[in-house]
Amino acid sequence: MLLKAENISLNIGGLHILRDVNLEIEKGDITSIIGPNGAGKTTLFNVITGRISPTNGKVWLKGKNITNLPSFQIARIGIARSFQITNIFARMSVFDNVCIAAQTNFPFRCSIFSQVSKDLKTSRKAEEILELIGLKTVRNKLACELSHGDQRRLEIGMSLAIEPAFLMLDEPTSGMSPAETEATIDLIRSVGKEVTICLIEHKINLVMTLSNRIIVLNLGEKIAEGRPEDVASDDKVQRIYLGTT
Amino acid sequence: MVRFRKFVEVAILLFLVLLPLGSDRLFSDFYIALFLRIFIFGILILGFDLLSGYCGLVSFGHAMFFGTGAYVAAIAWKYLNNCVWLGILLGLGLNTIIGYVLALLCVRTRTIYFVFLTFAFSQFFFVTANSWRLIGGADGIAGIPSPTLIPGISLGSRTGFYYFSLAFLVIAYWVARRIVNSHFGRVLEGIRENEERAKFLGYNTSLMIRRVFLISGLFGSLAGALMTGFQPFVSPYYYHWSLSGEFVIMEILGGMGTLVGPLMGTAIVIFMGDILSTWFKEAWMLCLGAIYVICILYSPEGITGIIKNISETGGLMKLLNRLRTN
Amino acid sequence: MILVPLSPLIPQDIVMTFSMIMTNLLYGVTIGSTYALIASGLSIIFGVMGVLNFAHGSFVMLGAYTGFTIVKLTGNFWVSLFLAPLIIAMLGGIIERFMVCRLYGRHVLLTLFLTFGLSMVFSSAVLLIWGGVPYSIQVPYYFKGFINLFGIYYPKFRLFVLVFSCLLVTFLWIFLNRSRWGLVIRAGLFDIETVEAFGVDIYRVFRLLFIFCSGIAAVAGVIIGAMRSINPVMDVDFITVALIVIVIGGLGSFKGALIGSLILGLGEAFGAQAIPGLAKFVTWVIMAAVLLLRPEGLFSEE
Repeated sequence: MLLKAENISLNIGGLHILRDVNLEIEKGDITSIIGPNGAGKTTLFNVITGRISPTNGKVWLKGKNITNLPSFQIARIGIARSFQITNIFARMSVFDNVCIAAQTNFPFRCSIFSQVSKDLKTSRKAEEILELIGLKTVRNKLACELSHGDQRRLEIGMSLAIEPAFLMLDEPTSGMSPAETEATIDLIRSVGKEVTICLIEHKINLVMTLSNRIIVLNLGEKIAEGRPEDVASDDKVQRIYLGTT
Repeated sequence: MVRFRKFVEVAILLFLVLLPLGSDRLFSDFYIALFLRIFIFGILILGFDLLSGYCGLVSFGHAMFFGTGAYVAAIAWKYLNNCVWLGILLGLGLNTIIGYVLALLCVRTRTIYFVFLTFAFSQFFFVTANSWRLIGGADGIAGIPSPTLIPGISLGSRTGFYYFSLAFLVIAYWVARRIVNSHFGRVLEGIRENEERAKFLGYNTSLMIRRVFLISGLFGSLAGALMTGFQPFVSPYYYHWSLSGEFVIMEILGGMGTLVGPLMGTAIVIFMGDILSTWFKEAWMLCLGAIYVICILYSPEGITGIIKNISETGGLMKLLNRLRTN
Repeated sequence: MILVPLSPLIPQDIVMTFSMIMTNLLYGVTIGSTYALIASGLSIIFGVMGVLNFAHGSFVMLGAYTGFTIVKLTGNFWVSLFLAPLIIAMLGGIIERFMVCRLYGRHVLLTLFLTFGLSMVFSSAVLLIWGGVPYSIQVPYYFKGFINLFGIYYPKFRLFVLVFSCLLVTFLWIFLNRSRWGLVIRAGLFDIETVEAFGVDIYRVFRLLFIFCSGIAAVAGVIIGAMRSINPVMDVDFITVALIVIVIGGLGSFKGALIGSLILGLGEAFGAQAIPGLAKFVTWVIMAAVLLLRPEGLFSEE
């Protein structure tokens, strides 16, 4: 088991944002977390990646307790994530963005002495990533000059560049055109062969085709879990999405 | 662009090295002193640019490193031994401790806190220096002997110290360039742009910020020690917030995050201060402040920003037109 | 009050200590309430507008100097207390309209750089116009001297400052928590974008807020200028205090500014008594302690 979240609860000021959420993710899975707005999906991501500390509960990655570790350490251990609102280095070039991510794989990542101009390893890795996400042609543009869809793809690329064991994507296709969404689905599918992925998404058909497991959250609780077909036919899930019949 | 810059660098260096040869014959010794002050503050501003231009953390209290470097050198040279290295190294040592402690206190969750925390803490240093009888209080320390290169060889005249400081400036610039072009430097810029993203890529941003804060403090410490070598007295003015303010002005007028920009800014501020204080006496500070305010409103990227705009839009007239329509 | 008639039976030391504590308490609250006027304005401007007004201390100083000049010209303290803040508020409006306004939506530090430059300009201007000699605002004759309060003697004017500042702070509190404008401001402290989405012209709110807080700062300047002295470096003292209060109390929190000011005021008053030479360092010690133990401030709205 790659990731295990045990009895995660989060109370802030009397508001129960997450209640006793349990999660188990196996290596190689593509898991989707779905649910109405305010269900706590992003908050769950935040707890797992160390952005927020849970009131109760523990998170384990590869058997190691990562519950209250700082975000950067969790990233180093092997979780990469993208955000709901694109989080990239806006005023730097696309190439630099990916390089900074790729740099983390080498021992000279933070070295004050080693010079960037002499470094071929990082640029090679960055080129690979750019090829993968299809942004090679715009490598010298500033990240803020890219279209919204391209920016989100850049963020996915950067997350991949740190060679994570576990990739968490928060609404990766939000704001994308159908064509861009298709391309991103293909990207996620091909990446999913090597990396375990967990997504938050609202586009149900995307979720159905991509994932081999779905988890449904509502008002901070997990109300359903399982294979796409099973979850789709679940009464509770239908009720929260379609209303009572 | 890089080749052009290197050419300019060498040209300026050549000019500065040959400058003292023209003194007495072409101009008075006064300019040596002027350039010395530019070198000294230039060293500090290089460290300052690393912190504020490249990492995005503007310190409104950098005078605390400068003042401490100056005072330690003063005390070392007056009461211990006037070997120049003693003052410099002791100053670096004390400032390392101060920088480390202050980094822990000032690097907080919101970067805006950094600005006024550095300001508030530098005020503490000023008040201490101003009231601590042991280090002279409001009068400071006077009668500091001229430092010697090694015991026996004095640093000689103004000219000797000029070359000594110029050498340090060149070294400081080289070090700063190397840091900026290093992997650390690249991540620093990432932290400036989006610290959260850097964190989620796996970088220990707090540690890196504390490191660059310390480094920039050491640049300031060296500058302070050189200042004491230049002028044989130290006073609490070296901790004054208006001095910290001048550093910010030098940085912004020149152009943040370019290394050469702030150096130009230093030269501009010192030359202007000189010209303005002869014409306007007490009002020169006001004029400097006003010019700075205008710069913030119309060209926050400073001189380097203007130069970049001119080269991009093709000419000064086009730039002025664009400013008018903005 | 009870102790006074009993005083022959209680050792003089205890009575003196009691009066000393009471005096310090009174002075601490007096000073704290004036700091609250200054710091709350700074905190709210930042919380709502995202502008850290480094020139806030300058407004206090300009208020003091303007008040001084008006008293010299008119001989009337109350006219000055009314007029000086009005003038400074107008100055604040001009600055917001022509300078701060242009920087909205840009890099968060730009307004800080601007206001910092303005504070340097004001500082030099004051030096040029009024010179470096410290002054003091003349208070009306009925405020001179001491008043007997619970057996201790407290300067009459300081009592006035205490009452006046507390009233003003209370008025601000009521305004923030009970009025419609206050509601807009409190909402803006929380999420300015939503406020805008409700159709409120936030730029008008910003302008009025800036004018209002500058005026309050100037009021504090006048009464502090009359209580203590006026000098060309007082702007630094007040911006430093205001910033330290914000660190202690938390950015964008009115309650935090109040509590922080109180802590600092009391610390200053009792510190001056207990450790005379080192009294001024009390503020930094408190700030460092808060930074280490609760970095986001005691009442941060985050």
